[in-house]
Amino acid sequence: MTRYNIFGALVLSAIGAAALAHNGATGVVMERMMGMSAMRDAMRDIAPMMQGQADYDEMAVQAAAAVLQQHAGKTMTQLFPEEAIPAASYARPEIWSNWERFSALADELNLYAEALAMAAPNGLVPQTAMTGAMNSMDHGNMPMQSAPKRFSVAELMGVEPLKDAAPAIASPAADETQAVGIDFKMMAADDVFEKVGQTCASCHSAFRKGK
Amino acid sequence: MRGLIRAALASAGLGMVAIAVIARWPIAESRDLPAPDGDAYRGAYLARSAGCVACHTNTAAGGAALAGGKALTTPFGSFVPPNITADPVHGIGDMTFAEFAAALRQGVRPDGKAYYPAFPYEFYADFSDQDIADLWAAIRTVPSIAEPAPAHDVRFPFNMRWGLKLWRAAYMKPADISPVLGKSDAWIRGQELVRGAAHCAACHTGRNIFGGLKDSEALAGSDSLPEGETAPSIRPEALKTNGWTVANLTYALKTSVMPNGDVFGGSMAEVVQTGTAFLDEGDREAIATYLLDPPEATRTASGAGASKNSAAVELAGDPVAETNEN
Repeated sequence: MTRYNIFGALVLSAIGAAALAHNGATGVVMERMMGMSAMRDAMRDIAPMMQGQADYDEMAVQAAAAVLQQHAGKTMTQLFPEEAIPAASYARPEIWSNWERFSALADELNLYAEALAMAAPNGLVPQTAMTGAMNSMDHGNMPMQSAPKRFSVAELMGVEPLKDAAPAIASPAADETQAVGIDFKMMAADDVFEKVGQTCASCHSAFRKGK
Repeated sequence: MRGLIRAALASAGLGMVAIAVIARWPIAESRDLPAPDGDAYRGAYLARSAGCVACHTNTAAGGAALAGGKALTTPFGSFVPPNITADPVHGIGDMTFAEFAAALRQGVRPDGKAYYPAFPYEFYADFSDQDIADLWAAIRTVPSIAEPAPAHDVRFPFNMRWGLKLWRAAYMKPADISPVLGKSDAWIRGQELVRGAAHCAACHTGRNIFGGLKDSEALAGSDSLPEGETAPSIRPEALKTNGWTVANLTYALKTSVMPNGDVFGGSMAEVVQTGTAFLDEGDREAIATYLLDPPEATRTASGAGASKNSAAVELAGDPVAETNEN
């Protein structure tokens, strides 16, 4: 990073802090808002690549994954001490009444952020499928994307859980990738990125006010 | 004074008569409906797209599929989505096919009374007989649950069901999904989903004090959703201002990730997780295509025909200016 970039980043974060302070956020509320904003920006930077709308840049994905890791897990939960919720905060009281779920989601985000870093070299095609595709390379009619996903009647009707549902994190093991039975090194980066998004959405819908 | 009392009694009497008449006012079209053979997969896909599964299942509380959903808290009271499994007593297993069709398309109960519009039947008005048969087949694949969902808790005067007939007369606007000349298949499919099954307007259009959707505010957002939630405008100009494109809106309907990097929360996160994430990619793209199509580009020269259809062709491409049938 050049000095110029560092200066730019400092100015930007100062502006961000000023904007949040103006919003009435102070102390831990401001700190967690800055963390959330940093993660939002990291997501914004790589989302177009994950949609195939921009050229894939492994370094950018690594950088975004690092930002997510910086703000997930314990780093996130320690910014939520139980206290009266100030007006500027989007936090919902369920965070503390359902702390177990909240902290599990924060840990899950940390896990998927690590996974994103592991899967970053794979780009948008999973390792195994990519090798397979290379072997059977046929330029005539080879659709790169996998067949559209079809859910079973039982899945659609909510009778059975989804087969590829995000794994529930029961207990953090020494090797987290084994704990959930998925080798993230084999996954396509965009599949992991979707898991990151799902984790954010689960947490936001349960614990964020308003939107 | 006596005259005043007589007048009051007379008008009270007239009021009672009026209520009695309204209560007996038949609202269901009587239709002799033969039940077509249903396709459970198509029905299950439609049940997902239309939010049947999401609303009638209390996933957060670990409830069984279709056995009754989480209560919706509104200014009118609290509405509990009922058990719609095939249980004949506590579910809908004893409905005839015609009754099931009248419930979905017209919002009329088997006893002839109206459903509360918390059940968004207005949007299902365009479902075909085949759609209804498919839904019926799909519901029958789900284990029956012999337990009732809790009753609604609706405050006076909204707990008077006869009043719903007046509501229907004043505000019910069955989804009108008309073909539009010169539109892509994706756009036409998008129109069908947005204005029909997916019932976007149920949250993204403002409501008046009686809960009727405001024609002039179609898809312009609402700040009075249950639980104090708000929904933003999803008119094309608002979407574009906020950085939405067909590609990133299609993606958000699968992943909840927004173009600014934020991720949906609130009920939109639920809509994605329990609804649009299950759709085929083509259907998500169809929704995005329809929502982002600017009004001026959608007007087609339809001549000066005075028929309803040509008017629909002229206007149907314009989700903004058009009165909202959703």
